[in-house]
Amino acid sequence: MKKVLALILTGILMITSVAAFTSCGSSEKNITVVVREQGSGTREAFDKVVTDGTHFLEEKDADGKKVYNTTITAVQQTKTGTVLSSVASDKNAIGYISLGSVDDSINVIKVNGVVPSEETVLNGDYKIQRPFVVMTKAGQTLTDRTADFMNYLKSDAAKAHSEEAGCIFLSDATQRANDGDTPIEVVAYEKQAALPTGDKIVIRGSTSMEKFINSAAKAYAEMYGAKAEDIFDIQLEGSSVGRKAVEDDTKGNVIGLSSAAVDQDNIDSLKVCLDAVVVIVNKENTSVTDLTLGQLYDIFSGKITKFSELN
Amino acid sequence: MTVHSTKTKEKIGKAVFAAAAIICVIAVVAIFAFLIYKSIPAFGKLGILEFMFGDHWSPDRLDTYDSPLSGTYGIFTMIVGTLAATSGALLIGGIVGYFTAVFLAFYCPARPKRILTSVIQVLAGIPSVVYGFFGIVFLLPMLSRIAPNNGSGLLATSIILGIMILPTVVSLSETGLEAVPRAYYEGSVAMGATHSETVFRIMTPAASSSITASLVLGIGRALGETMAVVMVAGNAPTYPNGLFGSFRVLTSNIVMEMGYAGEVQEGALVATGVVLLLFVLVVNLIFGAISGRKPGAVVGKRKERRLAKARCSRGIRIKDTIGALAHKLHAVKLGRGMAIGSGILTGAVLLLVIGFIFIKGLPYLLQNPSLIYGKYEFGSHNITILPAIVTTLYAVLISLLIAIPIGVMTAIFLNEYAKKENIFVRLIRSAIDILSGVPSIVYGLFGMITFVKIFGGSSNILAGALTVSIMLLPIVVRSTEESLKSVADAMREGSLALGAGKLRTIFKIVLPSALPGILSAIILSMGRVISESAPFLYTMGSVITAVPKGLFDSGATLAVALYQLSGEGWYMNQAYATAVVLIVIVLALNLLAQQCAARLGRKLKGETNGKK
Repeated sequence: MKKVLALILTGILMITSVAAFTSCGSSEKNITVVVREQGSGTREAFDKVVTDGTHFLEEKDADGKKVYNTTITAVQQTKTGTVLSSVASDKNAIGYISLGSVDDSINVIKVNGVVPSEETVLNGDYKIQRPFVVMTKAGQTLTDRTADFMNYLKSDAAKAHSEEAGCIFLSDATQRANDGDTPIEVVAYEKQAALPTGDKIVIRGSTSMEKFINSAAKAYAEMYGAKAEDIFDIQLEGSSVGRKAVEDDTKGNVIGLSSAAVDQDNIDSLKVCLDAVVVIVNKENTSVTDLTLGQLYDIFSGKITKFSELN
Repeated sequence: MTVHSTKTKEKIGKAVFAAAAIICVIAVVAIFAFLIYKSIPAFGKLGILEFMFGDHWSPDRLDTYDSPLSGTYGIFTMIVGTLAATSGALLIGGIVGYFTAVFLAFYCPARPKRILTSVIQVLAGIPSVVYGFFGIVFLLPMLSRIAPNNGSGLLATSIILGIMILPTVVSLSETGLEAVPRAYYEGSVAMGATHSETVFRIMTPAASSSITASLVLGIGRALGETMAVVMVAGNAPTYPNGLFGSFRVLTSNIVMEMGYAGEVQEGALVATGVVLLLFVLVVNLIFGAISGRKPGAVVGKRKERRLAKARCSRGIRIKDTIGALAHKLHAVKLGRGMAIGSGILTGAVLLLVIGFIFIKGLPYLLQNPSLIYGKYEFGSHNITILPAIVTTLYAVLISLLIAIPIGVMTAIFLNEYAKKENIFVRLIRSAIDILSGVPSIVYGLFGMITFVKIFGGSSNILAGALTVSIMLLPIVVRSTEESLKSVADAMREGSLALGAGKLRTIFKIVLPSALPGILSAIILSMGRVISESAPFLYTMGSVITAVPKGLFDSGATLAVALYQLSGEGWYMNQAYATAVVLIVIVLALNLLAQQCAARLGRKLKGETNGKK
């Protein structure tokens, strides 16, 4: 008797769970909005550009308070890679990543009818773009090795590394500096007689700049016949981490990477190249190919929750 | 001359043991002092009420204490989130745990019981990142089929946390159930009640206080859990909205933003830690009150009597309610089914967690054994976990070198010198109780604002090891003291009677007998260091690419590496394989610890013949 009861109970449990799993799927599902965490440079670049005309996803209100208008139901991911895999595995997902990180697991869509490319980024037609920035602490004496690597990053050698990372090298000296600052000319790098001395160069910051910095660090190390892992300590967790690490630098061996413009008095910054933040959807989602900034705002702020509501 | 020097030696010995014990107290004071000191400016700038009850969190890392704020800092959504996740965990883990305990105590035959008991111990040993990883790769995809989102949210978090508190609830409840006098059972059966009726109407109500205590301890565990929750909760700083929908808990808030927090933001995060600590303290106090009868807990004589009275009346009340309800619903039969079902479910869950990860990870590991010993190539996508293994070894070695001597000496002081319960001893005991309740992320926070700052501002192995060694103290002290207690007094008396001094007795007689227990303390501590990740993330760092060359390099332990790899999304196979390595190591250590404990048990049984 008891056994029968237990059996019936488990049976009911199994049936209901199976039913629950299969019943859904007929009606159209809500859009899964995938965003980066608030410290991310990619998010900052996206949030400060996407607007419905009156509001931006990130803005300051009348009292000077920062306001985020991103929908509360958004899924937050802390890495470029997790955004990619979230969108690649969810038919109803939409997210954004750096142009250089695009692979064929997802579809890239147009923004305001413009395909993100070197040309459209440089002439400003593609709106969601941001600079890749290399930073050191203002007023801090750098170790010989760090200073030399910074010279390398400032030189025309960085062009090849930018290309490898899929971002667009900036050659204009005024564009490379912040507005109103001394222009930063592109110079040729002079190889030293031997690898300059100093502690390991600590590199912190944007995950979007991983390809760029890895390529540069590897080439620099090989030039001196050394191994990159013996010269560099690279750990990328987001632009804000990079800025914090540079501010906290006491030894003169920290280089920060930011994927959003940095205009702080305590930080010296160099804009190396321009990157586009591209909007990505699932491979199976062929209905959405082009969105305006306004439509993006509506989706990311939660006004529109289904792709069918776009028209 | 010799007499004099022996006396001096004894005195010095006692002083050294006492000093070790004082370190535990200092650690607690330091944790509280530093966290509060660091959070006072934030509380002042933000306002305690606005901070606690504001439901908007949008920090600006450029905020400083001497300029107007541009960010908003309110943690109420996360307080609600934490409470909701904890309740969910309690609902799932508590119910299943309770019935599993009943099943183990009254329904399970001896052989399966042994297996199930070790299964539950294994569940307790699995690192929380592995649970989180399991959540990402198994639970979320499954839930996403019925969820409007990717599956993350309250339900996923509750399930994962529920599994994680299961071992705590089961083992404590089972101990309580088995401690109910056999006569109760016999009396009930003699009066004509069936086995199940006796179990649910007599035995369970009689053990209600330890069952409640086990639930309270489970709550403490769920409140403080960090990494597993970060991986499945979604983490948007909003109220949990139904079963699915991104939300954030207090612990995740700290771990997500600490890495780049600016001045005010860091203060607000430390303040979040203080709030979390308060929650956990309250839970610990409740636990202390409920299990006040247990030896070791600090309860005054008068309080004890009052507690006992309260317990009695409460016990009767609960017994009545349960009895009435059960009678109405004919629930006994249902209870029996639930108990058997829960027991099977617990076993199945473990098989699922471990099995899934092994099936996914083992083939990759066997095909690419170089993952373990390979050389990292810069800029390539060839991952190796050799640096993580080396870092883990460093972490284990250093933290044990610090925690074991201090912990063992504290235990010696408590058990050999402090037979009387004076204020000093009580202080030490409550310090150890508090240390064991502090959530691991709070240790990480403490390490970050103290050790990391001392060693020049960037995370390094030494800072991480120091941080985690404080966390190990309660484990070492408790299990060492347990084994010291089990050494028969007759052996001490014999040694003293033969003219040996106290120090000599301790080192030549007591410690050797208690050695297996101390060994198992060491092994347990190793397991803890290997499986923890929250305290390491911001103290030791998360570099997974380079083998550390010294104590001041930063590096990721295996658990942190797993967190990093699974976060990347494109190293999933390597993450599975890393999880396999991690589980194998932790399981092996657990087995070893069990062996040691069993050996201690056998040895003592042999030596203290008839004493019990």
